[in-house]
Amino acid sequence: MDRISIALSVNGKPYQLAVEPRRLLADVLRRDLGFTGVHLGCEHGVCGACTVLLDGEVVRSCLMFAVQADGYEILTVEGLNTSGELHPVQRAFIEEFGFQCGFCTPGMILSAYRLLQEHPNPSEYEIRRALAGNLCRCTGYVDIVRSVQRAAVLLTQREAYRAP
Amino acid sequence: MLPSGRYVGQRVPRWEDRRFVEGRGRYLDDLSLPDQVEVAFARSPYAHARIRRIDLQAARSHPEAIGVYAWEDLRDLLRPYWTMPRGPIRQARVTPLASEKVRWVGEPVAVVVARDRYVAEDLCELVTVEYEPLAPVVDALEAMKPDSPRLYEEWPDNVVSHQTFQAGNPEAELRGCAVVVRKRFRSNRVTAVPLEGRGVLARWDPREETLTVWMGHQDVHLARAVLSEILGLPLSRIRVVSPDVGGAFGIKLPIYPEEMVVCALSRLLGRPVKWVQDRRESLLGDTHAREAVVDVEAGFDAAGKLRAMRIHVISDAGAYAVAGRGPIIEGSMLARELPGPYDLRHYAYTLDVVMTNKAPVAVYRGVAIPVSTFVMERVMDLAADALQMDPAEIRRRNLIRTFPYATVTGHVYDAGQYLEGLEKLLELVDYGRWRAEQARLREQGRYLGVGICCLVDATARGGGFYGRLGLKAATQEGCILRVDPSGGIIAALGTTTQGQGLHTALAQLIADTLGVPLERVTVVMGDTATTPYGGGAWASRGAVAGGAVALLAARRLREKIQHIAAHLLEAAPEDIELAEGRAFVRGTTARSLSLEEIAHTAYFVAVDLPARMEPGLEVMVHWEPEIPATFAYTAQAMVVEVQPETGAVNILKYVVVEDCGPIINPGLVDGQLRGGILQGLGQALYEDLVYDAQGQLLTSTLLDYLLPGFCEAPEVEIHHLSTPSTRTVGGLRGMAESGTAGAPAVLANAVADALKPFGAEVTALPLSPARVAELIRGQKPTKGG
Amino acid sequence: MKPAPFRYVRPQTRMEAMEALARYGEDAKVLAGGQSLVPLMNLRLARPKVLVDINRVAELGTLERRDGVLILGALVRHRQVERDVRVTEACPILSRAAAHIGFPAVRNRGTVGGSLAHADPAAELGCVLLATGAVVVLESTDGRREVPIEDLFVGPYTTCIRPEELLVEVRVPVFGETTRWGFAEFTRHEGGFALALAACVLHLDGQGRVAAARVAVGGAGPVPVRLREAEQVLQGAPLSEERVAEAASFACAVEGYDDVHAPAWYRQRLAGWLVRRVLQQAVGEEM
Repeated sequence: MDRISIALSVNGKPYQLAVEPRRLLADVLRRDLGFTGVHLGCEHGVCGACTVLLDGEVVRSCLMFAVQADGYEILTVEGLNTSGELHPVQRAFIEEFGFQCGFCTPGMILSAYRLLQEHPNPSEYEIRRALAGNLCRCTGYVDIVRSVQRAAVLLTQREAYRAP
Repeated sequence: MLPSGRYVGQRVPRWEDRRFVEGRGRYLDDLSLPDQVEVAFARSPYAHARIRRIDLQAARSHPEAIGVYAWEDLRDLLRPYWTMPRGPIRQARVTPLASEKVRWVGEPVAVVVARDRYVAEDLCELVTVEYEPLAPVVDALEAMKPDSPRLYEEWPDNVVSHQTFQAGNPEAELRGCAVVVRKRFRSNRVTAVPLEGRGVLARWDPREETLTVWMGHQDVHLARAVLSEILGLPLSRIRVVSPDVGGAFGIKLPIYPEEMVVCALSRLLGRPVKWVQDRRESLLGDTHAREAVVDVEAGFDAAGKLRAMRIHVISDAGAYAVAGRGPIIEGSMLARELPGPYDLRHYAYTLDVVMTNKAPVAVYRGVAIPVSTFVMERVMDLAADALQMDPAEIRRRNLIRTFPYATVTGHVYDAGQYLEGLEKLLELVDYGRWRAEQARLREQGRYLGVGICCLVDATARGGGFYGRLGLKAATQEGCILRVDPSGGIIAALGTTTQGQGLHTALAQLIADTLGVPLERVTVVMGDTATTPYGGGAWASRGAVAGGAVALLAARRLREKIQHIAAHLLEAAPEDIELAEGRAFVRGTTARSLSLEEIAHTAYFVAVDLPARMEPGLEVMVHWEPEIPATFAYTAQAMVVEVQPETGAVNILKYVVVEDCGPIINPGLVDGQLRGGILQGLGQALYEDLVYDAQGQLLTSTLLDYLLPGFCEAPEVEIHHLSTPSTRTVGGLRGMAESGTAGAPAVLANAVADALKPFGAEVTALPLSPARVAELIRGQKPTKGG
Repeated sequence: MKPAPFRYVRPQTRMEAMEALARYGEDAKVLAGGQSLVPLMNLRLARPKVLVDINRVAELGTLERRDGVLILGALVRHRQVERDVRVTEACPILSRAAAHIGFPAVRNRGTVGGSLAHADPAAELGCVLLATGAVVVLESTDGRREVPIEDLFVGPYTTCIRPEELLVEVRVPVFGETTRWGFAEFTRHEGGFALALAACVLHLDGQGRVAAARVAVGGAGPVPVRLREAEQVLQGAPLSEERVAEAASFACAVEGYDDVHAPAWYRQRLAGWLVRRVLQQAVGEEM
């Protein structure tokens, strides 16, 4: 099978690799590059466990071929915590019991992270709609909604702290 | 009693599970070994067919094929297994890959080994199987007819188990009843759909002749025992490790054909072999659950007291037994536990567990209780209707009030506040106000419904429940607890966790008993090499059985620490207090020793220990509930609005009163309840495994098998009663299933209540919009009602 | 659940894309947003030999308003339709409908052209564009043709687009001062496929009478359909309860289909209910 050379940036680091055209972005991230925080829960675009940010926007990495991501910047959940300190969204998910088995969590956190960039103070309805493409089978969602609300507070506090 | 201290009873966050928010969980598919190969299975496209010929030549001659096998190629490596070792059951022989016949769509027929899953799937397409299609048996009622085709030709019919039970004289009692409810209820077929599917990675070490198996599993000790039998390997040569597990809910309790085959292939090929299930395989072939037809006759006297019941349960078990769990558990529990929290003395049931050409049925969160509660609670409402009595009132008149209570089918409910729970529920939901609101809105053509349900759930089964059926699933639990020489604490338990937060809960119990900071406690589970024998996570036993052994072990260790400290500090053992990782003499802070100092003595200066004391700081405890189960009580109330034009059901309010005894961590308990409730609502509103007349599964993707999402999840108000069990350590009761068990019933009752003006009858699930619309199709609402 | 092998072609221009389609013909499939195609490929229900990835053809991603027409390039993503102020001003019904397509991650990738070419009977855009009277532009190396959206859908998941043709843009008449519209759908859960959906676009005259009406229903049957009888009922008079009810009754007669989610009769009934709702939305307080 012919392979195609592509260049990706993942969590700020450049990668150069040759992939089969049919190889899904999710598999390249997980298997070839070791970003196992990208999870595969359905491989047909329903569950959202494979959510990553592609040039800053949430996408399903099971519905993209890696060749399509050539030249793009990708953020996975591993890229949120670069300083060794948890990102406020990650912190909030622990404080508010926003996960149980943890399998949907990376996708949830990335969707929440993106939502809070756009809407620092979302309503409960906005949270539910923005995250509706991410399925969780453990929590019943209520604690995830609270986690996102908590994250909004933590992020606002962080901004206030940083302001001169 | 639970220990009191800094942690128990507190909403302690799961900081030790920090890896999950960082994307550093290690699930099965995250593990890879050098030289690893992957497999895919060629599966039956027919529900029922004879295999005429399997042609593997094209696949085998493909340059990328590492191996292609059918049953004939593996029969020296794998032994067939039987339906269930003991019990009132017919035996059928099951081979991990189909031989002679296929009996459900998706049954594995051949296996392909390749460098990765992509290539393995390519090669599967080259496997050709010649089938002789047979008439499929899809419906359990049809399957029971004498002229039905048979799945197992050597049987006289398709009934794998027929059981009857009678207590008192229900027939005579029914004759004297003021009201007899006679109805047929149907429950839909659903499955657990953990977000992470199943998978297995097996490594045969030819040098040591040992097999290491990684799989996300709920009971690694059971898995090892089953694999040992199937593979013909001594237990001592198999190690089963469960890494992080992305949800399980019962479907990761059996040992499936794929797992057996992968282990055999690793032995055959001498290299690591991995299989990771995809979602279609999960919907097709994870064990299914809940499909049943229940015919009921229930008699009430004029005062609304339930006098007698006679039921016939027809439980659809699918085509096979899965190893480690039998096909009769669901039907047996459904029949035995149907009376639930209500006083009943005259009861009879007939149970038929029927094989059909559909995926195997086994256990899923709540097992039979979501169905039994649905039936019983609908019966209560129908009787209340007939007697023109309020649904709350009829429950008041039937709930068990004195404890311990011996049930008609032989359980003992140890303690409870069933009536108090109902009254609390009615108060919290503001029952009277909603009834008034309902009447007001009906005048405007809006249809509100108020539903309630009460249930008991048998949790943390003891008494050798499965062992008596010949299954190697333990109801006892084991814990090894050790203070290591650095003063750190390690607890190893035979149970497992798949997201329940059990690490944190157990650490809370141990930390408070030993007076140490939580972060000092490490809990190890899910590895047969490092944990004592135990029973795994099922029947809400994690906190009850795991908590019991953790507590017992910690208490024993605490005593030893106190004795050592007393000896070294020259005080009486009863005057030693443990706190902040130190042992103090009561009333003074001046005389104390750190746990590390005590451990140092115990391990390295044993001569300084009290006379005749064993060196070291380690204990092992095994414990089994003496009674068959511990019972948890739940009462739920729901208010819905039904839109008659579309059949849409909108949940306006949902309140749950639950009693799981004392609570270790409310954050974890509430999370289990909410998650469980949404799975129950999934069954009630969205989820349905639909087969067509040919036995094809029509809902084999998540586009058709609908899981509830963020916008479908209601807020749930939760209230705890906390009645300690008199029969368990610390008074704990299980609670992980009661949410799931009540949700279908409470929703069905609320919808039925809303539709009362239309004269609609709710006797089947799920209540999809189309089904609700069907119920009221052509009906004009009556005023009032 | 992994896709079968294929040859991957990534044209940079429209011409290159059309040449690729001309070369590979029936063996080729266009990859736009991939939100419908890739699931089918992962399930191996679709297995094109050649995949022509048009995502790098910048000229297909343009969005402009010219001469009373809103022109949406094939590669315009649903997210842009949902949010771009040029769309919300020129054809607000499109933005409203786009907000109902799947989930944010799906809208970020899914495209206008992809949705139309996939021809899912329950797709929001097909139904809404039918109500707006849009025209689809198809191009091949042999030339260009404009197809009224009514003629695009020939069956479920089937269009009149020839293998060598590329759907390059959709042209939608811009709404005027007196244009009224409505859009509604019924799904079993948030972001799910509609069991039925409806859209209407009405042009009023100076006296508040309906001068022209287009009413469309999707999801109920094999293709989205215009309700021409309903449109006739509405034309020439102000909207009234009676006319809305009569118009909606035609929706109950559309062809329906059965599946695991709902039987045909239910979808037909739902279509009637939705048509009434969209007509009520269209006139708002005026009725």
